[in-house]
Amino acid sequence: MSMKANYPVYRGVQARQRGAVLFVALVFLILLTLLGLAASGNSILQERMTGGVRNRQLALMGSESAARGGETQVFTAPARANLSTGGMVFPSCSGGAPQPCAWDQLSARYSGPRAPATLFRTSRDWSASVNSAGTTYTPVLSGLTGAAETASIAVQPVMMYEDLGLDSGGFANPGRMGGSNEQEGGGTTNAQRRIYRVTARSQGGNGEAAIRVNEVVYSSFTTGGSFTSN
Amino acid sequence: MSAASEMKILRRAASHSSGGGLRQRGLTLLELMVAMVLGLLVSGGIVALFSATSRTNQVQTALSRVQENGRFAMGRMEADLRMAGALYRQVTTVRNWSQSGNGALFPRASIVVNASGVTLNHLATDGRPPSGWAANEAYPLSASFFVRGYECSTGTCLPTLPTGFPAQGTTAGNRVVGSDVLTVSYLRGLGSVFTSTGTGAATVFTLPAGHNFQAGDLALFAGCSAPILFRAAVAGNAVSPVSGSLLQPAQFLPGSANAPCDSRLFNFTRDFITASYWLQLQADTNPSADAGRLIPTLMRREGTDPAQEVAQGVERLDFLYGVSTMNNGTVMYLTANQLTSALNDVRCSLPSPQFDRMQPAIPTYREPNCLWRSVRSIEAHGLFNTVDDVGAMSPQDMAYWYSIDGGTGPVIPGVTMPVTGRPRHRMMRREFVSLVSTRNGSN
Repeated sequence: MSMKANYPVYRGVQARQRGAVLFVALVFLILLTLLGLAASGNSILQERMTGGVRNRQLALMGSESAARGGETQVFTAPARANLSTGGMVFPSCSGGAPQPCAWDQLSARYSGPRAPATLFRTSRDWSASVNSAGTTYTPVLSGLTGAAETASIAVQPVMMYEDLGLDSGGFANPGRMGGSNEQEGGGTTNAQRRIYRVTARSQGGNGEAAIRVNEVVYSSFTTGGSFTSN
Repeated sequence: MSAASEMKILRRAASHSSGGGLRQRGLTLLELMVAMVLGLLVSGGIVALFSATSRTNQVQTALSRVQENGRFAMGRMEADLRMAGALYRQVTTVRNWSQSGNGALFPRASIVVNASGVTLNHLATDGRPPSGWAANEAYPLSASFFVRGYECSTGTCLPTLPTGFPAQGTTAGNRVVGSDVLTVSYLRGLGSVFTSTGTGAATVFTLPAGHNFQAGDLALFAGCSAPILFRAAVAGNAVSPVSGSLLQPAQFLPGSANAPCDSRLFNFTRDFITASYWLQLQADTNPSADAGRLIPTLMRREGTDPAQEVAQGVERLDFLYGVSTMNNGTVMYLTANQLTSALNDVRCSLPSPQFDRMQPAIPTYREPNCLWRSVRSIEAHGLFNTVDDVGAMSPQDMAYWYSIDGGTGPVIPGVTMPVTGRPRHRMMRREFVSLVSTRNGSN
């Protein structure tokens, strides 16, 4: 109790001074915290933006990958086609054929049967109603694990074929092309080629709605294939 | 504690505070010194902590700026480079195709110019027919004009830079010494759908309302065959060739309405973009900057519009071109100068059949500089700095590596920077590299 007895003597003075140390310390603490927050906020912002760029690049690579896959399909189609089943490279989607099929140009171009194809090419959405005009790219690019996880994209890209008619740029290629008969507008010695347009859509690494990116690329590609004298 | 003693304490406290004498009682010298020493220690620590954090913050802001400028500038360039040479629907032209001879890609049809008096000065060509072309006949426009680079050393640029670019130098408005220049062209957008009637000079394209054609614009018809360039006369939504402007009306056959191939009509004057990139010294407009301070800046120009700043603090800019030659489609990475001069044009793949008219006279005809149409990828290198000086830098902090200069790792720059000859300042530097596949190239 002796402490208690002395204490009140200084109480009036000490009560005011004691708060100042705390106050000054707190001010410095706040200053340093602000500086630290600013610095880390900057870093976090940079990291997020870099993440966004990476997300977009993954989407672009996904769509490029699917477009190249589609080009390969088109390029090798004449060799795979079979005269016994009509020699078709791709059946026409307008007739309700299952995927992979090709949307042809000859029907009404921007409405009616071709409307799904136009929507596929131009929509910003990633939804079943848009993507149903195309087919899912088969090589696995999503859900990868282990070392490949870093390259994994949110969902499989989708791709769509459009038939753009005969390629009238060149006639001088000799021979028939595989088992396809629809290439042969020029006969067996001057086979004509058909141009298909492959449109591919892909998401980035993260498919959450707030940060989702959709990349769409297209490529007009002509049928190639083997020049066998079938 | 009892209630009575509590009362006593309160009363004593009240009497002391009302008296006032005790409040003026000072601290002893010892107390004061201890307090001062402690205070100094604490505030010294705080100051040290503050300055360290502040310096970290400064460095971090500078690094963020480098990162941000680099990311944006490279992203902007990538968008253009990726589109280089794009022409909506490129018609392939197959002839005597063989995997070993011509590479796996088919050559693509060139634009056919079917209009008199076309000038395309921003395209590194005046847009005239190739030398030796028959007069008054539609002529092809080589795809080699759609990507053109210029390798600039301390002396001059090779191939020679066309007019319209600032001179190389060390004052405001000059091009930065030793930085490359690149020009790429492409058709943007998806054009206009149309219905058409007639052929030749009597052709009329009917476009949807809201098109961007104005009288005298060049129009590009992209259909099933090689795209055709003509001069447009506009009447409402109807576009037709300007009377008498077609070089060969008989060769102007756009086909009927609802033609296949998803044909489109493009406004070539407005939708065909020619974007150029180079580095330029810009005066620092910051009022607190040293007088005469110059900032090397990445510039972008569309066509003949005024150039715009893309990002500041870009010291070096170099491009390498992945070129596919006739050697089994092998892709080599070359500078613009090597691509133009060191390689013989014979190593180009065959030109598109639109050039066939040249064949009887010159059986192995290749248009000049034809390797530019075989560019498959472009590698862009940029050296970015922090724009402003960063305080308190040791020389080691300034070490950087620019892969174009070779070497094995970061080196500390001398007082002046290599190649550009500019002062090094107190800056950090970082190289950004971007490899872009240009999939719209022709063979």
